[in-house]
Amino acid sequence: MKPSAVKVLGFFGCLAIALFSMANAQAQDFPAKPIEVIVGFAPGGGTDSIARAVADVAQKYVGQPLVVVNKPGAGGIIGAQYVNSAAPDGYTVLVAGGSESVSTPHFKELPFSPVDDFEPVIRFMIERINFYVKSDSPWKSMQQFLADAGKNPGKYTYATSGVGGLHHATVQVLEKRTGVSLNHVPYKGGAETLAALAGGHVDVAMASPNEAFALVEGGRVRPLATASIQRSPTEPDTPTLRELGIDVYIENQKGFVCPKGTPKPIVQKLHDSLKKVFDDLQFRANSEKLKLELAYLNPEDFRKALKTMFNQIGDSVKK
Amino acid sequence: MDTLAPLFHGFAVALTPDNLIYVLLGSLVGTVIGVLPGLGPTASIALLLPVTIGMDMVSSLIFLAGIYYGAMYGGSTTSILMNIPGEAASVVTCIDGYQMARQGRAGPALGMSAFGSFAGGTIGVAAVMLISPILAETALKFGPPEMFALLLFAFTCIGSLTGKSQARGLLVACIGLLLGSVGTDEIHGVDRFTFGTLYLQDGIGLVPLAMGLFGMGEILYNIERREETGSVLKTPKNLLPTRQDWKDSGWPITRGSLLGFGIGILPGGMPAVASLLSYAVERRMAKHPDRFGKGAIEAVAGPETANNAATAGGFVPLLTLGIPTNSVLALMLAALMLHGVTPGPLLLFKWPDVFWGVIASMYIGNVMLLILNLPLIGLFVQLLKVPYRILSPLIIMFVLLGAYALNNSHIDVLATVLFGVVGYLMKRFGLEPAPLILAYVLGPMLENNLSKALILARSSGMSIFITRPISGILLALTFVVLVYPILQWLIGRRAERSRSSAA
Repeated sequence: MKPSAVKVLGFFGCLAIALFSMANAQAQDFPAKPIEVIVGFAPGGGTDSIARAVADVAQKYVGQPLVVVNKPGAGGIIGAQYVNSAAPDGYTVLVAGGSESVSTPHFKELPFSPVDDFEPVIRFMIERINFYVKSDSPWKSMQQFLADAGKNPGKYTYATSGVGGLHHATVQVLEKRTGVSLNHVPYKGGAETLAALAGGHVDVAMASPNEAFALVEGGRVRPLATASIQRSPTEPDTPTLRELGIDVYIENQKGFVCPKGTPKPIVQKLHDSLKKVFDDLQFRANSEKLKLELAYLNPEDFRKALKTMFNQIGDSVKK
Repeated sequence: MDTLAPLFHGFAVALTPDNLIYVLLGSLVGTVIGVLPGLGPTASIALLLPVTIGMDMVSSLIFLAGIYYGAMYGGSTTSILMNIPGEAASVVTCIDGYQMARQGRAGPALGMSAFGSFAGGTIGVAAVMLISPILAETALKFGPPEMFALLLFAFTCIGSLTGKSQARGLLVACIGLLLGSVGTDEIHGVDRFTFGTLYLQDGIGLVPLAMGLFGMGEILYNIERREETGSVLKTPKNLLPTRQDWKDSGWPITRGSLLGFGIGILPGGMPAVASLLSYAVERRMAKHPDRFGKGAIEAVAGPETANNAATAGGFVPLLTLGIPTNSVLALMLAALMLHGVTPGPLLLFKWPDVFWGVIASMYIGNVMLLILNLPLIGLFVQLLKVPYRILSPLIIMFVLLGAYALNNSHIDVLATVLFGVVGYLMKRFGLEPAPLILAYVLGPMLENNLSKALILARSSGMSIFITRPISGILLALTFVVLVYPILQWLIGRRAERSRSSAA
């Protein structure tokens, strides 16, 4: 007997309903076991801090414990790849949004797309990228520095936390937009970068305020500008690059993403419970003490923000 | 005395029953972490950090600091007993420490390294207390050219680790340099020898390499030889160092404390460089340098002191500038911040309780660790009486567990096994792994700082190394160390010739 069109349609219809209800049932049961939160860096950094701050209060909102697992390597890519190839069921999430998502892919061939191959769930915070100079530097403002650097191409040096990272990429975008040319000196991490600036070995250092605050308070270094879109409430005197007429908007975002193909209801449910974590008073208090700059975005806006930065860097960086 | 009054206040803070318990707990946890291979203070402190949020501010710091220096105490144990270095800093401890254990002198080796750690830790803390602000300033002046000069000096010292044959040692060191060049180049971001794999982008892991070449290689080799020699390790004779041991170790411990502390305060402070330099210095100062590599106690005492002093030194940039020089100190910074304390120049004035309380607790902690570790030595030495056929699989299990725990990566486990086989072959052919590991650690650092210095020098080029005073002096010193043996040889030959012509 030849299967009639109705039967075929009926079969696929049932299948679709079955699959849909399975996804829904999955979402209703979700989460039925602990959720693995993958951090692509060693314990102690900003990515690790936010993951642990979230995990500390998450259980009462998510219903299951969040287990932070560090899988450091290749600038966060090892962790990203692990999550990318994990089952898209919401039980494996990646702390993403930084260099590994928007800047490294422009410097290196990767086996997956760090933006398109993930489902953003929620953004928790940003880490601003600031330009710092030594306190006794002759440059009182970013304009002075850029004017001076424009007249002396290749004369001044800047330190960052590593090749291909967001801080390195930010300066490359700046160079492209303003036409200045600077010398890159890559260090290992923010602490070494700032030590190099405080010791007078480089002219400018790229760092985030939560790394630099002690040296700023101690009067050793001062910020010239921030690459964020808005001034920081804690540093109201530091202008943004956009205010200065330079079209650069890059920040180090930190949020959770799932592997591509994770059912929408699960992403939504995870987002809703994590949003409650974001609003939790204890989480906020702890984050404030760690000087983490909380900045919530929903899945769609997080995806847009990731794309904005990804494309901006892609335009300026040649592979 | 200005400094003593606040210190007494600090002791008053640290000696409350609660805080005493936290010092003890921290030291204990730290010792256990240090003894277990692969399990390091970083992961443990990251796990315990949330627990400390609810604790009193000073108590939580006392507790975490205790774990950190406790782990440094424990680190030497596996190096001496089983030839397994948990980290780069204890690679040199393996050389003579394990030889001592094989001669039945595990007790004195452990005892002396505990005492050296105590001395290094205590002298380091005293230095942190007395001269932190001045030192922090000087340490910042240490830029890439100075670091390059220091590392070059350290490189000349690798020659002193080579054991019987200098040529073999240097050959092995060259292999170490090659292995060290694997991974993404830190200056230009170019991949080297990664064969398109992600795993190799960060280079070959130190822990798989060290645990494989030393620990696994040693075990495989011993299993093969067991038939001929009976037990590999002699039953330990005495537990405590002899009078002669104390006499031999006095100066090495003093020198190790100063050297270790000095290197510990540098940005990117490297306990591994501290222990290597201490080993090399001791060998040069020794009356009988040929004892080195065959179980010389000063070769254990000096380096073990130096790496603990370097640990204490790391607190200088953290407390005075807010700059953590390694990942454990970065976690300590997070702990301070969680309690609303901002490290930096103002710490001393704004939170004297924290500063002096923690300093005082570190004195107490060092004493506690010494008291704690002395009876443990007896226990650890008992371990060696376990038959090797039972002990060796257990060691392998711990090594593999540790290899996995480090990065949660199964490839690290495979790498450990692979290097274990390589380590076994090296032993068979009489090649020492120590120069390999140190060349592997120092090579990339040397290259990195050379590149950075040349970028900073711009047009002036190589002259940057000579015109800057600190690097100039270090390079001159390196030159003297290199040329001195040649001069000595030439003078000796001339004297011989004149003697023979006179005859």
